[in-house]
Amino acid sequence: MADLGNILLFFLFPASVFTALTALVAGITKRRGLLEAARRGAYVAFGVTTLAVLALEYLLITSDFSIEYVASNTNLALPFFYKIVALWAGHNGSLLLWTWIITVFSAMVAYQNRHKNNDLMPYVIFIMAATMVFFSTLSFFISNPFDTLYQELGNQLQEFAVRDGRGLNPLLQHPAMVIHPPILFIGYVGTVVPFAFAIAALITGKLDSDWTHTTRRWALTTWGFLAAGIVLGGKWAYVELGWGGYWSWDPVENASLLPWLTATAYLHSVMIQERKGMLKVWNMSLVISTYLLAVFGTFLTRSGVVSSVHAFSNSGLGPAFAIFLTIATIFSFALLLYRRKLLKPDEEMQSLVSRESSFLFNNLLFLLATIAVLWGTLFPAISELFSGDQITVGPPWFNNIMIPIGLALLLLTGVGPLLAWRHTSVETMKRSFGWPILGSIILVGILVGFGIRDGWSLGSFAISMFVMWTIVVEFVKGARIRSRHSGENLFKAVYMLSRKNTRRYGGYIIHASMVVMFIGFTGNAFNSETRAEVGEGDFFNLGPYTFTATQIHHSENENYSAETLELKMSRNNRIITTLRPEKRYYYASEQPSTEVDIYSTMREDIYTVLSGMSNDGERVIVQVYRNPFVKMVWLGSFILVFGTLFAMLPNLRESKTKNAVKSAAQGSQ
Amino acid sequence: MSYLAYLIGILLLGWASMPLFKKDSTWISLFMETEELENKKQRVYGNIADLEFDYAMGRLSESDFSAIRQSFVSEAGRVIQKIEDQKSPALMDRINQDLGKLGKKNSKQPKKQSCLNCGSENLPEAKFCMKCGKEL
Amino acid sequence: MNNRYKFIVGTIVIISAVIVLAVQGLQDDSTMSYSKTVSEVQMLGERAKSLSLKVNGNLKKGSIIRNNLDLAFIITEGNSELQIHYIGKDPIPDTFNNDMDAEVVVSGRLAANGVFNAERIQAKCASKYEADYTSEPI
Repeated sequence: MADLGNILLFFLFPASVFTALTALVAGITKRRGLLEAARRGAYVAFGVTTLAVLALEYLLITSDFSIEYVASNTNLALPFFYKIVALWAGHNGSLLLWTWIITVFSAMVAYQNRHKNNDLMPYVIFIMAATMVFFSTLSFFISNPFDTLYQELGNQLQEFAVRDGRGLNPLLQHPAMVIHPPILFIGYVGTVVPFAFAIAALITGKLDSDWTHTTRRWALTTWGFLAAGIVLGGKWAYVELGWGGYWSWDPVENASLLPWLTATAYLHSVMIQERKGMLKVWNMSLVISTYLLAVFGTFLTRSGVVSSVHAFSNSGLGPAFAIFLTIATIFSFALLLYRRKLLKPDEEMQSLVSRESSFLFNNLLFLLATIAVLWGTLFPAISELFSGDQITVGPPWFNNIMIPIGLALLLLTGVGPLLAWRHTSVETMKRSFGWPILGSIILVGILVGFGIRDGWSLGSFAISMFVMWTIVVEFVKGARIRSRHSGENLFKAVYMLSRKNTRRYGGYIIHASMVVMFIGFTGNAFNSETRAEVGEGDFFNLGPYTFTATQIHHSENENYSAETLELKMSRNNRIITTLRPEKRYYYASEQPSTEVDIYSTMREDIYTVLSGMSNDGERVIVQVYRNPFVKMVWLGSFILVFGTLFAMLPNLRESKTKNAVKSAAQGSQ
Repeated sequence: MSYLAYLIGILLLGWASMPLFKKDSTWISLFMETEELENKKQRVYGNIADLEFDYAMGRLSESDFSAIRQSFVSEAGRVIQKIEDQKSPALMDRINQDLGKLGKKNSKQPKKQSCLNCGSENLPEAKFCMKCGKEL
Repeated sequence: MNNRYKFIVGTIVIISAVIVLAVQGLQDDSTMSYSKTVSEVQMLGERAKSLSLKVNGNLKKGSIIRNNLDLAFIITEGNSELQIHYIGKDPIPDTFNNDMDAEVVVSGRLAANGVFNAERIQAKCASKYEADYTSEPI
């Protein structure tokens, strides 16, 4: 089975080279047969890679320990589910998954456009196939997951198998959290589709809005997966790493944030291109940067350039990625420079107070955020180059820049949609903003009354209030106007209104989700924690809560052994819940692992960690964090995903007119 | 097992290269000016729809609204005029006429001959009528 | 033209604000830490005491001393040793214990008495992925 997988994985290389070449020649000669061959090539690449993935899964499930990857990432006692997900637990397997996803996307794009976009498609397929060539090279020749274990006997290499594997990294042994890498991969890989269309448009010179229309859903889907992947990564860190937080400006976290920032900027500025014919070069640059940053993120996690809790150990792929990134960067921007004359704006900016200009400032802020995060992430490397000292900038540096930028962007989500295109007069602004501003001022007054003095937090709450208010008003006002004409009740009107322009109202839902998440982020300012050494019967306090250690017990199963602390949480002598933080020891990987236990409510999370244990097992050190509003972050991400899905629904109006036309046609017959 | 893998791979690649050996045709890519104008028209209509929405939501003063709307409407008018110009019947007639002249000048096609007996048309090089059989 | 100027001014204001924030962040030396190895710290001498440091070294086996919530240990690199006193609040990493051959990164400052006060400990486990299989029975 290993041979089978290995040979099929090998076939990806000729298949992607074949696809790239036929696509390129098809683009030049415009011959249908060549394009059809390129399309089939994309299907074949997908086919062989799928079979290779299945072969690897078979090896993982059947625990074939003659394969190094299987021996390194699974063991016999590992539950079945984890054997399956071990596909992306290690570097080689996850690279294969990455490669597989891109073959899936190429095949999908080739199939979707089989009767469309004949001029663009050859180059689209070419760009995707070229990326496949690169990844197939890596995953077959350099990081092959089907490599067998061997040892040197004299001058000969001899294959051998081990009795049991080293087991899955305990940090990944969490049922919900194992899905975060593939979600993020889909987001990363998805950026190649808009990129391929953009480059195809540049090559052919067909630079009207065709490529933005065709890739709108792809861009949005990719963006949604990136967002979900980032949040899931944060959630994974929160429940697995046991330091009480979900975001630490770790290089790999930053790497996932970067393409998301540029993708968000693109989703906004593309609207100006559609409406005004402006910012064409800029949009191209954003699409190109998003793709490059996504590849860069992949590179960062695998090159050992930076150290990170999320990263794989150094895989030796650094130079290959560096070359690929350099070529892709030079190629894309040179092409952009070459075509810059065709990308002239159709119109000029009219007024500082308009929707267009709010989009421009939105883009400026996203750009600055991207540069800041990139700079901070690479600062160790940059400083070493210039001063010889490797200097790391810590989370305070990032927070110092990103909190103001974040709040400014949040403010724009409230202001922007209320500004009219072209020009907004002062009078109408007063009308739009009067009540929301008053509401925010009152909220700040109340919060100060409750004793909150932190400026950033007050600012954040005030802006959240303002934005939420404006969003609700948008829905209600629109619905009222609608119901005046249609006679529908308000709820029906809200539904019909938003279904008629899903992109606009989906966008508002996403804005609302950002508000919810920002409330969660702001909660960080009010975190508190305590640490205590306790034996059975001891108690300690945090805030209004009393924690009593009722029991410390030991348990074992075939995968790991565990020490569990039973911690009774009460308030004013009323028992609220019992928390059970654990310390586990996994036999196969010989690694200990901390399992936190969290009591989560809308108001706050009580997060408990068993951080140490005395030698006799009688006393333990327990750490308790009280983190307000963390649940808002997760709630916000659900709303975000809902908003993204909503924005992808087709507009109701379109289907209605189609029906109307149909019935009119039938009537006339 | 590995033979199977080679077989699968080679068969699939063979399937993919099949279209290369078929009789082939090319597609023609057209950069139509009308297409571009059509896009522009859609964009102006979208702008007007946005403007009306903005006005309904109270984001614009009435004077701003009517001024901007007027400018959009006349822009739409200009675009439509251009599209219409390209399709106007007078223009088409003129083109057809020109083409007709061009066609006559270039035509070396000999006239068809008609049968003196029955009046049916025959190919120029025909010796006998294909309907009645008389000599031409 | 007038509008153009407004845009340019607005853009410049925003960009300079961000640059100010970035530079200001670098002035505050608690956010910047110098990555050094144990021997490099000793070569820095007195200067080391003025910097916020991230020190990389190997945990000396059996050097961990726990006393209630207190934790002290030694990290080494070649012949150099550095005494660490953990003053942080976060739980220490899972891989951190007396039996483990762990590479450790401690963040904090060097005190006047030559003991390193660590606020954060990160342990890189001797990666099992690079483990040597040849010692395994076939």
